[in-house]
Amino acid sequence: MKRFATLLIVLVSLNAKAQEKFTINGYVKDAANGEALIGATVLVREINGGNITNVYGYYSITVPPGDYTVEYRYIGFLSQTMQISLSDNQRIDIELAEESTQLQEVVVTAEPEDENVSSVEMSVANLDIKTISKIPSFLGEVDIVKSIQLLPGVSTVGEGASGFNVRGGSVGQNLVLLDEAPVYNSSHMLGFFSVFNPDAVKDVKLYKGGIPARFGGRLSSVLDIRMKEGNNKKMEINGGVGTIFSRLAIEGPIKKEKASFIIAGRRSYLDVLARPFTDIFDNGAALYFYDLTTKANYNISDKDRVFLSGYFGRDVFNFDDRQGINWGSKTATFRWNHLFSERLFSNLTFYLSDYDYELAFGENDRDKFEWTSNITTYDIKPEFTYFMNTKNELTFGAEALLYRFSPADALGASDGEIVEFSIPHKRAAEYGIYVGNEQTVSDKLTLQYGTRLSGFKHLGPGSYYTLNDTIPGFRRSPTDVRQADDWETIKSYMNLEPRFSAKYQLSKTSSVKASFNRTAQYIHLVSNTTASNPLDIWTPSTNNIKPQTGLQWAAGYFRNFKDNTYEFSLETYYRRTRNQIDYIDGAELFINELIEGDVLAGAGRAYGLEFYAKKNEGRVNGWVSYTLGRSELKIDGINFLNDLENRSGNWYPARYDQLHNFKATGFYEVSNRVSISANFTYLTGTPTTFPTHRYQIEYLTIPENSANTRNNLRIPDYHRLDLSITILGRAIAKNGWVRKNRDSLVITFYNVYNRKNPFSIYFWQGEDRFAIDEVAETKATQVSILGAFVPSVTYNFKF
Amino acid sequence: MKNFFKILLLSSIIACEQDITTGLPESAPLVAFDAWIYHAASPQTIDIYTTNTYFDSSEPARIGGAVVVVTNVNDEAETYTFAEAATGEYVWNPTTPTDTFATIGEEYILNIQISGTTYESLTNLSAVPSIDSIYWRFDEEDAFIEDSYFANFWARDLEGPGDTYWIKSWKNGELLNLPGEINVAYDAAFSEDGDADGLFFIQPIRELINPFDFDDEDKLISPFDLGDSIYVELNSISQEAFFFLQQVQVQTARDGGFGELFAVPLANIQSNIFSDDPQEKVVGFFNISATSSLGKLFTEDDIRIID
Repeated sequence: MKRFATLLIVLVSLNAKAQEKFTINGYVKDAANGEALIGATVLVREINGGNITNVYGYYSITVPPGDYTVEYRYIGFLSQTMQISLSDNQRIDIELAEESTQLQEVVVTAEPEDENVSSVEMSVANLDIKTISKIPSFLGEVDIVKSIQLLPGVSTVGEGASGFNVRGGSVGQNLVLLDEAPVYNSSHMLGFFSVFNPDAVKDVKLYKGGIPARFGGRLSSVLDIRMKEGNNKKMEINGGVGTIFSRLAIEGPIKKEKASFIIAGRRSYLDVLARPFTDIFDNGAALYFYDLTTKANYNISDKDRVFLSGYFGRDVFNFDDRQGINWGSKTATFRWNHLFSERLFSNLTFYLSDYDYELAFGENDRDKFEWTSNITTYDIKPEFTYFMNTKNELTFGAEALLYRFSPADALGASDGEIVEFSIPHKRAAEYGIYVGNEQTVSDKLTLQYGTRLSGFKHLGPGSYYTLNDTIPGFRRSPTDVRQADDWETIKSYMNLEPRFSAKYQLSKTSSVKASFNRTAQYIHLVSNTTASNPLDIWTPSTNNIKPQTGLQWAAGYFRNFKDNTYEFSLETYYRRTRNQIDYIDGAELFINELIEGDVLAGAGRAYGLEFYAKKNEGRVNGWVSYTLGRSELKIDGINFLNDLENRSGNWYPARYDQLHNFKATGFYEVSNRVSISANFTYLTGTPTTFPTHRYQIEYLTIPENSANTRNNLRIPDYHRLDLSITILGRAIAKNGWVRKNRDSLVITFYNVYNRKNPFSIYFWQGEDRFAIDEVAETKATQVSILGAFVPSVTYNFKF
Repeated sequence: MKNFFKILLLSSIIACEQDITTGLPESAPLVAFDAWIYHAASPQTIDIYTTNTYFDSSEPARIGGAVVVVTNVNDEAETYTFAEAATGEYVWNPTTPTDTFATIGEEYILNIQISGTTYESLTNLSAVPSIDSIYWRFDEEDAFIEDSYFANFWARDLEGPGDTYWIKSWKNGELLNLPGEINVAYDAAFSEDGDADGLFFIQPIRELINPFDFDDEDKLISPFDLGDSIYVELNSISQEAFFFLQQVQVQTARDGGFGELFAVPLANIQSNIFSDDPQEKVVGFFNISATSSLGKLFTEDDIRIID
């Protein structure tokens, strides 16, 4: 027996040695500043396969020993080819140089030209920061969120709305990540600007469907934003002075080519500029926002790299030095990349995030009202990628989060008497564990499959209520209240989230893709208003509020023309969701400990067709996107029409339901230094609830919707045209010296034809009182937020 | 109050509005009851009609031929019958000069029969405190207001938590009837959480009896000038009526402009009157109020320093 065993071992190991493979691995970086290039192609010609660098710029390809030609490519950069003789693992770190462009062709994408056809990813949009910089935006300020809204399937309910909607999902259903840390409110100033400083952003990727197993926690989409690491070769200063705010970003090496940092800040100064013209700001009134995005990284060794990022931002609307509203976030993230071996890449993330908002009213300490609300999150996330072989890339990892919700800490003083009324803090834990694989089955078929197991626990200390059952649509009251101990599990939930994507290459230039994913969301953005705003509340799932779950199917056809000059895709999706939250009529969402009693839950469905055509190269380029989509909800207690007894609900359009969503974006290089861009948006008007009748009680005129419908009519359609002109500063000064400052002037015209796009329509009796023997006249008024033509100028500089 | 002015100013920078005409979806009208009546020695009227479409402010179609009776829950002998004085208008007349409608502390059922359908509601009549006095506070001119006088009424909430009131005010004989001027109180504060049982009504409620009007430069005009008169009515209402009026204010007081970003969508207000046909919804409200009132002519002697 023993001899047989030994022989077996020897045979097996001999065999293994014969099939031994070696790994080519390393990082691909930008030669100018050392930034990792995300999504660069590393192609091994002999096997007609390779790898795409991950978000840290890392690649790993395992092949049998031999001679290989390895090509490194990244659009906008000069490719490099390496001839290697592989007889052992080889670490090859490459730096690619940017193409110097004579005829300033605009770089519209960052992925390999045929990425849309050859990658198994579908329902994903990658936006390069260079493209984003060219899109005219509000008041000349480049904006990440406004740019993704130009893609199919992405929309907004209009100016003034925070956040964005993806494939008929609500604003709170998007997982927005900044270097792995979630952002609870991605907007400043009620949606006019996002919190992401473009000077600090390197890469933006939006997953509308086909969400890989490593992401979890939100239902509709993932917006994965990666910050720059900071130029690790030389100091660089970028900035801009604009009409509403200014930015300054400083980056540079801490230790050349080993460690670098970036600090980018912005501050708005509308109030500073307006001060000479009005006295509103004299007694402490203020209207501003700021954000500071910082990052430092250090390459400890070939195998280890650490990053520390931070974000601090705030919006302030102060009426005077005592009263006002303000909100903001702080996040701190620590990450450690470790190469366990050439084939096993890992990243460990720790982050701490704090999002809070405050409201203060009252002229003096005797009569005042102050309220703060806050959500603090702690997270640890280990992630691994195992580059098994050229046909399989395995990912696995886990995540654990701890939340602390402080829904309301409020204090009221009246005639000197102080009353504190706060809602007790809530604690919750969320966790996930996932495994996935991207497998190249044949040269035509690639699959990405995996599953995530996620769970959630609502923890004590705190009270928890059992609510009575009542006709849906009426407030539910507590029938029992219990106290939970510190860390006691009040309620726990678990969900299995399978994820699957497939790509079948029909030809070199066309493919079909299909995907399926199940997602779960355990914390909910509670909003009762027309659009999401900073006073919306995040609330955890409890014994009375179940987690939201969704199932999305998508299929698409992708085709490139004329050697990847033109890109075309047609994609269709269908998403079915459960436990979607809405509210009873007359819900009390503000400082309500029993908010669960005012919440109603039901089903949602969203489906649509997305059409996308893009021209990548040439002096004239751009894209057109059109989405035909529907998003509806069906909740008992809402839109119950004639069913007064049971109030079972009928499907009604969600407040962000927009049938037609059309965007066209174009860029034209007039000359070496001047370029023009334009974008046009057309959106179907969103639905709103109209009254049908009115009645009098004494002198009061009261509206009534006698049919018990919700969102029964639409406000007028939204459309807008923006233009911008970018003039680059001279590269060579008049005296012949090369200018150090690469500057530019951007002139933008927002809402060129001055359309007052409606935000909402409300019904009321007007501002005047009426005589004793009369009744009030009722009317409808349409509100537009910033429905005006706004020109602006921004000067950008770069050293 | 000043912060309201500033919100308005900021809003004018960013938001703009225009009145529009729009169609409304078609749907069937509802039966409406205005059964808001008073504990007084005077005729009390209950109106029954069908609702007009939302933009129609003309007289609604009235419903005649109803039988309207209010009865004490604990004493069936105490009944008040409302006779049809005009189509849709049902009136109870006191038989003697001291005959007051309903008794304080009692509960009453409203029973209405219209063509075979019965409609019922329940309410209670609570006592109301008297208004002790009315004084004015002076505030000096600044960027937002001119030299202004704010009227304050002094009344103490009755002992015992859960008393709810509706305060109405008239300036120079004109009722302040804007939706934002609906002034309701829970004990002496805005809600149960105010913990204000047995106190004098708190400052914001005391001063909500003033008109807040602005001139062309958005500056507050003094609510009262010497020589103006004020009349304040303090009415006790049921707790259900308190929540009803709060809802009415939420639904009808639309600040517009920038405030629309934070506005809640339109919602129906639940009536406290029910049809015996479970498929029929009605609108309106039944409430009996006891009233105390005080009127005053504004003279220099009425100015006080009020903290």
